[in-house]
Amino acid sequence: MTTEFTAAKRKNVSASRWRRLLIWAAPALVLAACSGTGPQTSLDPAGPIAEKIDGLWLLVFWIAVVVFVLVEAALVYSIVKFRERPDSDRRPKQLHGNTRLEIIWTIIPALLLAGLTVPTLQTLFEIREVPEGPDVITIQVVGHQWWWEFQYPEGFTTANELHIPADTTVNLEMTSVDVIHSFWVPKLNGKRDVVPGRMTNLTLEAYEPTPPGEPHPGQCAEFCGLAHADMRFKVFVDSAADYEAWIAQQMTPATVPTEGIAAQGYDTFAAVCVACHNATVVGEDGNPEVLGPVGYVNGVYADLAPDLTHFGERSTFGSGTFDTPWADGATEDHLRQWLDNPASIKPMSPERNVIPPIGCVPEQERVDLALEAAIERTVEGEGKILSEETLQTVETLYEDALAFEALGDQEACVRALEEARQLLGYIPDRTLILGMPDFGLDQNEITALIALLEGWE
Amino acid sequence: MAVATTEVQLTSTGPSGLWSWLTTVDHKRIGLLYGISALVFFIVGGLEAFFVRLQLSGANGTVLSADAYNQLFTMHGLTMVFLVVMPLGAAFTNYLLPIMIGARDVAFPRLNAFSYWVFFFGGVLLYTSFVVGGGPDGGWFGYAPLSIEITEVVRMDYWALGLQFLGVGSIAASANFIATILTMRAPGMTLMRMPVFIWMALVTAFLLIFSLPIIGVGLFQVFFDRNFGTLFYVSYAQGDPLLWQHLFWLFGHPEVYILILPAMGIVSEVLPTFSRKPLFGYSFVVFAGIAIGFQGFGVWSHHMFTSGMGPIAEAGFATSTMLIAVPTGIKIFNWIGTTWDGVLRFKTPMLFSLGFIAMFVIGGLSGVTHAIVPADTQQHDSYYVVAHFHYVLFGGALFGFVAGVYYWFPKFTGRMMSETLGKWHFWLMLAGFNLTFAPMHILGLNGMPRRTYRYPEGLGWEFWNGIATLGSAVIAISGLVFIWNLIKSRKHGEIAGPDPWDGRTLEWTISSPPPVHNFDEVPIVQHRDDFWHQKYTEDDDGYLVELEPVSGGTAVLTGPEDHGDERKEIHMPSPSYYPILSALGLAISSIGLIYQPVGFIITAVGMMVALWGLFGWAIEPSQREPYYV
Repeated sequence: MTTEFTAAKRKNVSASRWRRLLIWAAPALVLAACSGTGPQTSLDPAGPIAEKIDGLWLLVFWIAVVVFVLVEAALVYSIVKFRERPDSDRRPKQLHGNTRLEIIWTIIPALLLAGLTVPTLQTLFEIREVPEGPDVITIQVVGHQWWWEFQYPEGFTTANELHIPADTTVNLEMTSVDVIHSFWVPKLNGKRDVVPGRMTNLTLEAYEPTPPGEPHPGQCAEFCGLAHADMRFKVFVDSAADYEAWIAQQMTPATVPTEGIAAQGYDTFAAVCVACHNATVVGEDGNPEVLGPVGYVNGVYADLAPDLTHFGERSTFGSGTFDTPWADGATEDHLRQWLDNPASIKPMSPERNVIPPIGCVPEQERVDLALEAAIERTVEGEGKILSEETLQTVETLYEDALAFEALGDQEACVRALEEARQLLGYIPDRTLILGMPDFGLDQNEITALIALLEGWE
Repeated sequence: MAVATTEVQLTSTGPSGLWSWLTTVDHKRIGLLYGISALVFFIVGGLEAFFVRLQLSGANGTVLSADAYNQLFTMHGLTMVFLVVMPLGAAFTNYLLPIMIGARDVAFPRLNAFSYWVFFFGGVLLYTSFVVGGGPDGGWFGYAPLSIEITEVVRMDYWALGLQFLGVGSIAASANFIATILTMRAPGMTLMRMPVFIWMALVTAFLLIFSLPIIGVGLFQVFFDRNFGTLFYVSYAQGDPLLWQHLFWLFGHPEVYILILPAMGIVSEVLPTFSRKPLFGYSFVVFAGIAIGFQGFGVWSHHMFTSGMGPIAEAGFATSTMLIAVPTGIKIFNWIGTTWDGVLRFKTPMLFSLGFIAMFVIGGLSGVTHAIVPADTQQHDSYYVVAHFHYVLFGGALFGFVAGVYYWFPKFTGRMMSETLGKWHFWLMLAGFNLTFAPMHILGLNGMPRRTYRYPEGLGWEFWNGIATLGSAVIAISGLVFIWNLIKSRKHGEIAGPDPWDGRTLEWTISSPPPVHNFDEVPIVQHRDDFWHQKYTEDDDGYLVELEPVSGGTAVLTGPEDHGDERKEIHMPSPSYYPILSALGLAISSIGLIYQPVGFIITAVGMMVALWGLFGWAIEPSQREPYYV
C-alpha cells in the first residue's frame, strides 16, 4: 500500500518535473535555435551590411512572433472554449459575419504591412547602392561550374579564396561563363546571383580581420548542376598591413624549380596541367610568363580552370571542398585522390567538356574583340599581360586571316586564326568545362606535383 | 435492349471493368481517377523526399550520389506540385463541382476525360525519363541556361514536354470547369449562393487559364534551344537567362495560389459543418479569394530578389507581396470567426482543417518575411524557403486536401473512414510535419542552401538535419496509416448513408455513392447552404433550431425515386474511347520530338493517332443510347 502510494507519487512528481522542464526548455530551445550557430550563419553578422539586414530581420521576426501568438491563441481559445460537450445541448448562434470586424481585420494588417515597407525600402536602397570612390576596391568575380574565380585590380587572379581588407568597402562585379550561380557569404551580406551575359554587384564590408584558420565560409546558392553543393569558397578578412603583404605575395610570379622532386613535378605540370590551368612563373628571361590558356571564355575574360600560381598558399582546394595538405590538421589524402581521379571525390563530368573548333568568318569579330581587350589590358597593365612580341604576332596573323578570307581561301584563314587563337589564349564560344579528366598520373608523378604546388606559396 | 442498358446504369456505381474506366466520361469517375493517380504519385514523391532526407541526415551523406540526389529533388518537386496537389484539386473539383451546383455532369464530359488522360500521360512522360537515362535533374523550375546546357542527355527534354503536357490537360480542364460553373448551375443557384469551394475552383480555373500559356511559351523556347538550335537563353548570343525566370514565375506564382485555393475552399466547407454555424463573412472570404487571384499575378518577381533586377523593381514587388498578405489574413480571420461560438465536433476532417489554419498561419508569416527584400537576400534559396513553402503547401494545401478526403470519402464510396485511424493519422502527420520542417527555418537562417546533395562538418547543421530526417520518418508512418485507413474503410467502413456529417450543401442530399446522373430531379435552390435550410432554421435571436423532418425524414433527399412505369429520358453522355486515344496520340508524337530527326516518324504516327481520336470525337454522337431516370 505504502510502496504503491509512493510509486504513484513519484510518478506524479516526475511527471510534473518533466512538465516543468518542458515549460522552461521549449522557449530556451526556441531562443537557442534563433541565435546564430556555425560560421555560415546569417544571424551573427560580421559587417555593417549584414548587420543592417539582421536588424531588419529581427524587427520583422518579432512582429511575426506577436501576430503568430495572437492568431494561434485565438484559434486555440476557440477550439477549447467552443468544443462540443457531451453534457450540453447548447444551440450555436448563427453568425453570418460582421462587417465592422471585417474592416478592422483588413485595415490593421494593411497598415502594419505598409509600415513595414518603410524600413524595408530604406534598407533596400541603402544596400543596393553600388559603392564608388578612391577607397573602394573592385574585384571581378567569375562563376564557373563549379568553382569561383576572383580577379584583383592588381592584375592577378585567385580561385575560391577571396582576401579583403577589414573596414574597407569592396565592390564585387560578378558574371558567369556558363550558368547562373549565386554568391553568398551570410556573415557579410545577402546573396546575389551571378548571371551569364550580365554583370551584377555585391558590396562586402567586414568589421574585423578573421582569426587565422577561420575565414568566413560562403557558397553558391543558386542550383548550378551536378556539383552545386561543392561550389564553396572562403573569405579571408585581413588587416590593412596583412592585405598589402598578401597582395605583394600574389603579384610575385612562382619560381620554376630546377632540381629535386619539385622539378619533376614542374615537368608534369607543364605537360599536362597547363592544358586548362594557368600559372604565372618567372620565365627564362626573368620576366613573368603566363602558362596555360589566357583569354575569353564564352565572351567573358576568364580562366578556363583555377589559377594555380599560389596554390601553396591556399588552405582549401576543389572549390573550398577539401583541405590542402598544408592546412592545419590536414593530410595529403584528399589531394592525392584528387590528382589520381578527381571525379572520385567531387562530382564532375569531364566527359562532357567541350572546346569547339574555331570557324573562320563567324569567329572574326570575337577574335578581334579578344585582341583589342588583350592590347588594352597590356597597355593599362591589368589582367593577364602578353608580351609586345606576342601581340605583334597575333595582329599579323589576324591580318593574314582577313586577307585569306578576302581571297576566298577559307582553309588558310582558319589556320591563321587558329594560330592567333592559341597565342592569344582565346577560347571559342560554347566552351563547356565540367570537370578534370583522369590523366592516369602514377603515384610518383602525384608526389612530385604536390611537392611543386606546396612550394608555390 | 436500350431499357436493359439503362437499368444497369441506374445502379449507383455504373458499369464496371477496366474498359469502363478507360472510356468513362462520368465526372465522378474522372474525379476518382485524378484522386487515385494523385495518391500513387504521392507515394512516389514521398519516397523521393524520404531518400533526400536520408541523404541529408548527417554531414557528408553517402546514401545518394550527387546525380541521383539532383534527380530526386527535381522529381520530388515536380511530382508534388504537378502530379499530387494539382490533380487533387482537379479530383475534388471534378467530383463535387457538378453535384454542388446541382448539375448532372460538367459542360464537356469528353473534354473532361481528355484532360485527365493528358494529365496521366504527362506524368508518365516525366517518369519515362528515368527509364531512358535518368530523371530530370535541373530542378522543377528548370532555370535556363542550366536547363539547356547539356543537350545530349534527354532528361530535361522529358521535363519540358511532360510539363507542357500537364499544362495542356489543366487548361482543357479549366475551360470545362469555368463553362460548367457559369452555365450549368441549378435554378436558384446564384453565384453568391455557390459553396465557397466552387468559388475557389472558379478562381483557380481562371488562374490556370491565364498562367499556363506563359510557361507553355517558355517551355517551347527551352525545348527549341535544346533541340532545334534556337538561342533564346544563350547568353553569349545575347539571349537573356532572366527572361526564363520572369516567364516561369509569372506562371509560378499564380501556381502557388492554384495549389492553395482549392484547399482553402475545402476548409471553408468543412469548418461550418463541424462548427454548426455558417461560414463567417461568406462574401469576404469569396472576394478575398478573387483578390488573391488578381494579386497573384502581380508578385512574381519576389522569387527573383537576388537576380539583380534593380532596387526600383524590387521595391515594387516587395510592396505588392506585402499586400497579398491582406486577403490571405482576411480568410484566416474569417475561418477562426466561423469556429467562434460554434459547437465544434472534432471529427477527422475538422482536425485537419484546424491543422490547416494553424500551419498556414506560420507559412503565411514566413512568407511576409520574404517580402522584406534585404532579409530575403539571406533567406532566398536557403532551407528557410524550403520550410516556408512546405508550411504553405504541405501544412496548408495538403492538410486541406486530406481534410477533404476524410470529409467526402463517405460520399465517394458510401462508407465512413475509421475515426480512430484518422486521429492517429492527424496527430502523426502534424507532429512529423513540424519535426521535419520547423528545423529548416533554423537551418536556412544558419546559411544552409537548398538543393545541395551534401554539406561538410563544422557548419553546425547536423543536429537540425537529423531532427528533420526523424520527422520525415514520422510523416512516412502517418502516410502508411492513411493508406491503411483508405484500403480498410473502402471495404469494411461503416455504411455512411447520404448525410453522415449533417452537411449543408447539395451533395449530401443524394445517395452515397451518387447515381451516375446525380439528381433525378434537378434541385431548385433557395438559399446558400440550401440543404442545411431544409433541416434547420434560426429563431428570432439567431439561434439554431431544428426543423421537423418532412414526411419521415427521407423526403428531403432527392435520391432515386420510384417513378413507376413512367421513365423520364434525360441527356447523359455516353462513354467514349476517343479522348484517351487523342491523348495517347499526342504523347507518342511528343516523345518523337525528343529524338529528331528519326523521331519525326514517331511524331507523324502519333499525330495520326491523335487526329483519328479527334475526328472520331468530332463526329460521334454525344449520346449513343437514351438514358432514363
